[in-house]
Amino acid sequence: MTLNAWADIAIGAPLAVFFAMLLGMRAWPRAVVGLSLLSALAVALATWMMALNLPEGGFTSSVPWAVTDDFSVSFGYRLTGLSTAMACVVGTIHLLVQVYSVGYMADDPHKARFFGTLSLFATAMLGIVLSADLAQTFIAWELVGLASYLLIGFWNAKPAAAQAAKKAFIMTRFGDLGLFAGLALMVSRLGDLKIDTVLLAVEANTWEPGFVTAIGLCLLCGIAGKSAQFPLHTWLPDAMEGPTPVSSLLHSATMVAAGVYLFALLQPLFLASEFTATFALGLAVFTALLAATVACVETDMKRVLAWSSISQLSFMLMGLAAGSQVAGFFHLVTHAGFKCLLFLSAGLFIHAAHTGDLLAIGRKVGRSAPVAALGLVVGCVALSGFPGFAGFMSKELVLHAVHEQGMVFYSGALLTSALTAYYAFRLVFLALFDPERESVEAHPSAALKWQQGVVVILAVLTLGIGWTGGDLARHLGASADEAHIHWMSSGVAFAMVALVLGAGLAFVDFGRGGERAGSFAKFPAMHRFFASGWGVDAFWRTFSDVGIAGLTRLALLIDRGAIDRTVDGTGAATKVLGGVAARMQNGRVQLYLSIALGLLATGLLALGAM
Amino acid sequence: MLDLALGILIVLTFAGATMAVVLKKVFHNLLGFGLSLVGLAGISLVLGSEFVALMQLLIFLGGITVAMVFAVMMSTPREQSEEPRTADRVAPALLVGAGFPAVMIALLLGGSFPTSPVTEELFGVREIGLALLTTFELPFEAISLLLLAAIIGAVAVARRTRERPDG
Amino acid sequence: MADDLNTYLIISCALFAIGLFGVLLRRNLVAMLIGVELMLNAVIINLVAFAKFSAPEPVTGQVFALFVIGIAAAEAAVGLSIVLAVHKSRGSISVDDLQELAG
Repeated sequence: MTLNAWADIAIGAPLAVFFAMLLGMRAWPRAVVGLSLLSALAVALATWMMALNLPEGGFTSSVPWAVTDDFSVSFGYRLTGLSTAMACVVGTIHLLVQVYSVGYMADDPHKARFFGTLSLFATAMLGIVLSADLAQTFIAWELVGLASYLLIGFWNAKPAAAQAAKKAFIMTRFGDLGLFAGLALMVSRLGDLKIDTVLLAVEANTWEPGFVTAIGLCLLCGIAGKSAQFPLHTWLPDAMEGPTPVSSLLHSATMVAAGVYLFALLQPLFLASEFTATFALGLAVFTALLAATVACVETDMKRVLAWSSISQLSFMLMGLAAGSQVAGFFHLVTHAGFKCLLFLSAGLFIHAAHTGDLLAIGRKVGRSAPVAALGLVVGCVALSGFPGFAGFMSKELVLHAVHEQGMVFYSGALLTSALTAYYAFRLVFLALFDPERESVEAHPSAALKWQQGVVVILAVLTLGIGWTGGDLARHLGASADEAHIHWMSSGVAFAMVALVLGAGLAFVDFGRGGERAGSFAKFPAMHRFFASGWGVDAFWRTFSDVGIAGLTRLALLIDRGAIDRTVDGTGAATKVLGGVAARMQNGRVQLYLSIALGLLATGLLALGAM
Repeated sequence: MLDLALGILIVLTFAGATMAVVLKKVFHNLLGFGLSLVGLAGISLVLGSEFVALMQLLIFLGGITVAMVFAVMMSTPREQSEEPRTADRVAPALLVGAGFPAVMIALLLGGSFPTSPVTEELFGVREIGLALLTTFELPFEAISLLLLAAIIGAVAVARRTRERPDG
Repeated sequence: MADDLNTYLIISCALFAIGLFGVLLRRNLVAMLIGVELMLNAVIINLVAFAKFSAPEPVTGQVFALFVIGIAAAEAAVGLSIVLAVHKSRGSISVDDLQELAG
């Protein structure tokens, strides 16, 4: 089979499931689930086939779709090392999440809708990844937004879920404005948006520096929205209202990764402007720090993971903005693995404890769920950057790349690393080592087997994935050296110090039982500040209250003052004139005749005068 | 001679017309209208158009006036002098009635019309008949249709109210 | 005097004025109709006079005069039947009593 056919399968199969669900298969949920699993399997297979059969130099095929004199849009596939690698991540995680969902959603009456929408998500995400034209990317990008809206708000009877879905949709829409503006700028110069055309134009260095910077900043705005970077990140913690498999998919391989992928795809464009690159780097470091501090004080398990996602996404952007595609993208891959694992483990805990609260989970479940505990430990160790595990390998590359960009950024990243270790081990200690744990009978069910199986598979993957850096670098077209870690370097030493500091503090705070507040609680003002997400959420609320309310008031003023007055005035004038006319319609033929003759005489006089 | 005849006819016409308008009883108005019609037919004769004069007499005097007499007999038994002649009624009527023709006369005296040689022989009934059945065939037929419609309409309007006197 | 177009035009205008005055002054429907007929007669005089003095085809004016006579007949027939209908329905033929459509 050709690459085109595999790509068709990867995008078409989930889409077919979605439409089958839309067109009435909802009545047979089990059939939809089965079909959806089959399509997920096909997608995973297709993505791996594309990656393994990729010819030297990539593969592009596209057909013109909308062509005008000065603008053309084409549809097609552009398979490169980057896109096929990303497709593999998407396909694999998607398959695992689908299998996990079979158990997780077993009792949900709307599981047909769930699986259908999940499939739509896969289609949209692969649409971004495999697209050959940025216009096509944009369409798929918006589809991802739609699918995320549907999934976050899947339990639409829950007001918080509906709110969160709306918030995610609107916040990312803010960013998409920028993305759209960036695309429009490019169209104005290029005439089409083929990725190859764009990259060639960047390489040829034909644009003036200001223009490149403008495009870069616009696109960065879209990426910040999708990948939850400051200040557009606030939707992501709220998006935890969705079902846990959705959070898992959303935060590891799809949606948030879409922004990072776009950055990786157009990396030369961003690096072409020093300002854009530095700005992106600074933004990423700042966001990473912000999110990590919030994760340290958050008490809801999934929200801790959500803030950690934001922080880790910033690490990916750091690597990319610092100029290393391998580092940033490798971190995306490893993060996809361990974050998916963490979420799915969290799903098991939450399923058992019926709450997302960390302390409650520690008290009720803890180590009585061995598979979940295993997943959590492996995931957290990987996340914290324990040497040899997935997170360490990729983060080390990122840190190495950032180190070359200046000490400010590097120290910020190191501090974030320490915080990461702190909140990762805080998670482990709080969830698993609560001395006051009530012993609750474990009640394994048949459905749980699916979930546990997936968690075990992911744990194994996470353990192994850290050692694939060299292969990945070769697949991306770089030399394996780029993924090589210099073990005997000061960078590793610093990272180790950060890890030990973070993990040690976590052990001091939580590892020995006692009160579960942690060091941060000793500084109440700081604690409050962190817990409120640095006030960004409040800022947006004020913004919407003051800004949008002000806008509304202005619109009201214009409406009342100008438009209403005009309309009312027209009405009043008509009424007055109508009154005059009505007074003339007094039913006396004589008056009518006089008026008619008067007009005739006037007309004749006017004619005579001419 | 012709001037004298025209003068007499003018006096006759305007006397009748004034009676037709000013007198208060409708029956007297009708008499004056008849007198005025005789004068008008005479003026048409002076202009040399015998056929039009004849038709004026026949239709206006013989048809319309008689029909009006019947209408008056059937509709205004005793309330013939009901109209008060107050100044606020007369003044506007006088103003418009004098003002509009004044404008017209002023205009026509201010300009001139193209003249053509007077052709007495073309005023015969024969020419009119020929013109009616050749050049003006279509309007002629249309007028006949209009008359038919008017007759049917008149009958219909008058009849319906007779069936529903209180309608 | 009899050979002058203006004589007839002025006669016509004066007669039109009297008819108009009648229509405006009177409230009796039949009297108003008489006024209208007077105005129509003024028009007929006008047409015949122009036919004699001014038109290249004298027949045309006369034919139009005949048409006016015909239409006057139709108008009178319909008008009088309306007068009868109004009288039947409200016992009066004064236009002052017909003001349902006043604004």
